[in-house]
Amino acid sequence: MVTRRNLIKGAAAVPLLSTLGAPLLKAAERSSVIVVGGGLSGLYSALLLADAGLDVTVLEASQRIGGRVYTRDGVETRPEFGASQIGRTYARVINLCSRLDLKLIPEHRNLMPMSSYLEQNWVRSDQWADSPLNRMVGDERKMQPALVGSQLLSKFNPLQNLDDWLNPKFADYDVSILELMQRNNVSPAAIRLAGIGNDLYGSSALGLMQEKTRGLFDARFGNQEVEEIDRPYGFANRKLEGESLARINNIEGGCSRMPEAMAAALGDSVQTGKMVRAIDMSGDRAEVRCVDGSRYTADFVISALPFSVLRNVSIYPLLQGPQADAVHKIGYAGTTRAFGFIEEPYWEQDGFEPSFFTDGTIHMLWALEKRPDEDKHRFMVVFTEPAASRIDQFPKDQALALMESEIARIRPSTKGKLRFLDMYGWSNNTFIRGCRHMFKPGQINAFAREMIVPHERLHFAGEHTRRSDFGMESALESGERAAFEIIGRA
Amino acid sequence: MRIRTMRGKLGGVGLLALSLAGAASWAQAEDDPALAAKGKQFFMLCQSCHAIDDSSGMRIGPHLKGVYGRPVAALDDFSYSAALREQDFAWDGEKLDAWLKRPYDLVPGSSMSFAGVASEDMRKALIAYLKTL
Repeated sequence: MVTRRNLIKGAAAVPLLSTLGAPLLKAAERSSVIVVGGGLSGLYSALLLADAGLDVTVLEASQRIGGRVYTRDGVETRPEFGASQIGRTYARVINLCSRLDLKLIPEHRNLMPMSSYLEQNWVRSDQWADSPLNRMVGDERKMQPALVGSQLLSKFNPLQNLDDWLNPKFADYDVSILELMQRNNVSPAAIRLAGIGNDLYGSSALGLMQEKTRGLFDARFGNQEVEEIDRPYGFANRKLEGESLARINNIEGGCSRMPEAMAAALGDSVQTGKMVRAIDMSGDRAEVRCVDGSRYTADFVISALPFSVLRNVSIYPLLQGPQADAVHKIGYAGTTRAFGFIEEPYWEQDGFEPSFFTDGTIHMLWALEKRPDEDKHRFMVVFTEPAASRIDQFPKDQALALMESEIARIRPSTKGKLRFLDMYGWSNNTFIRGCRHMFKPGQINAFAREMIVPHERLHFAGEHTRRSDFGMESALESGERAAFEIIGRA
Repeated sequence: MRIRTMRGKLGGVGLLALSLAGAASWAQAEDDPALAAKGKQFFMLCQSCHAIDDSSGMRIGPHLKGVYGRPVAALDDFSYSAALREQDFAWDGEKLDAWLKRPYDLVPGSSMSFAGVASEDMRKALIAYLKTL
């Protein structure tokens, strides 16, 4: 096996070649393993392989490592554009933070109560159950509008174990949210509310149930039920007495410190600005070719790219069957959020609650309690599908102006009291194209089991290849699995 | 304890001899140092949740020092799931093999988040390593 060190020695012996500097003459760089994609899963697999003594190269297309972990350091509140929540059972993330000397702190993102603006009418959360705007039926009426989709999915979720979603026994749940709800006689009014923040047609109910099951696992772990289970939109975070971790934690200084520390540990084997265009395994080694003409060879390759962009990479021999379908057809969903300060408590003027949910353009405004070190409350405007895809069609300046004017139009008390700082939409990140994978109805049955099987010398990591975890932990779970597969072969 | 379990499962007195023969082949494989060295590499799957010594505090899961032969759910300072506390066996080769293959099959309702190791050879190597701890 030729290591990087040997290669450098070899290069020193032929100075003439290097002084010519012509890329055409440059030999392909050799490593044991090339990891394509410098997000959490790719960096973690590289770290584990380096621990095992293998020579690893990480190729990241963009100039920033970290993928969907992205702390926006230049902005006043240092918002987390991407993943930030670390559950108390995220064993790999917790252990990795300890290894990298990163401190976990309880998340402080306490959501203030939420009114709704539906069909051009305001209603407080404490008046919703009896409101004439509430056209749901029976027990449904108790669900807050913003939580209808999530709570119904929990209600119909039959999964017990973390890997049950892959068990053919539950194949019948791999249908659209709409079909699941109609099958269970959910009222048209409840389905309509569920469709405001969920893709009724394009998301597999079974895929979302996997996440619910992981959430339950986290809430119940250690024989202590720490939370009401179903609170998707922020909640009063809790730290149990005697426990070192809260229910939800963040990384001190921002979550980007984690991929940065991993990259620092890996040193010059992490290269940015290296967009891969082809992975060719026709020969006796894998050759990875970048759009800038550089070439790398290795015994094994890990794709830690989302399938949304792996589909732009030519892979030889060609992917076949369910795996090809997975790479080329799996769905991705966007999340878009804007961040800012609340200059004055506008809710004192209009009597509605600080946060709101709406069936209009805005989707949700989360008013967040001020942190101990701040003198103002913060806010986030949160868009999930389909609202995220709508707002993502505008350039940033226009999107922010639209948000500000639309919020002021429906809720005049906010006028001049919201100071927007920045926004970010993950579908507009062309290196990723979404904040997460989202199985379409039928796709779990069609390819979820087969999609992670190694193809020739190519192994697959990334949150979309998870088997039992969620969020940042699922990225590490997948990176660990891919590294383990390669160590078993090497 | 194992004898009782085997009887309960397979229902025959004559199977006692079979189970002991199985244990003997496990013991041979488990004491192979080369296999244990391989297993140490595979331990990357376990290390986030389990410390290998009893001095550095608990991680998400219990420490694994002396796990081979330890009765199930035996550590006082770890909060095991109710499902695991109800069990009555010791961690021998067979139990560890079944556990590592898929924890939920051995103990439904367990709270170990682990996808399982499909390869029997890899499980053997892991168990050989666990026996050295």
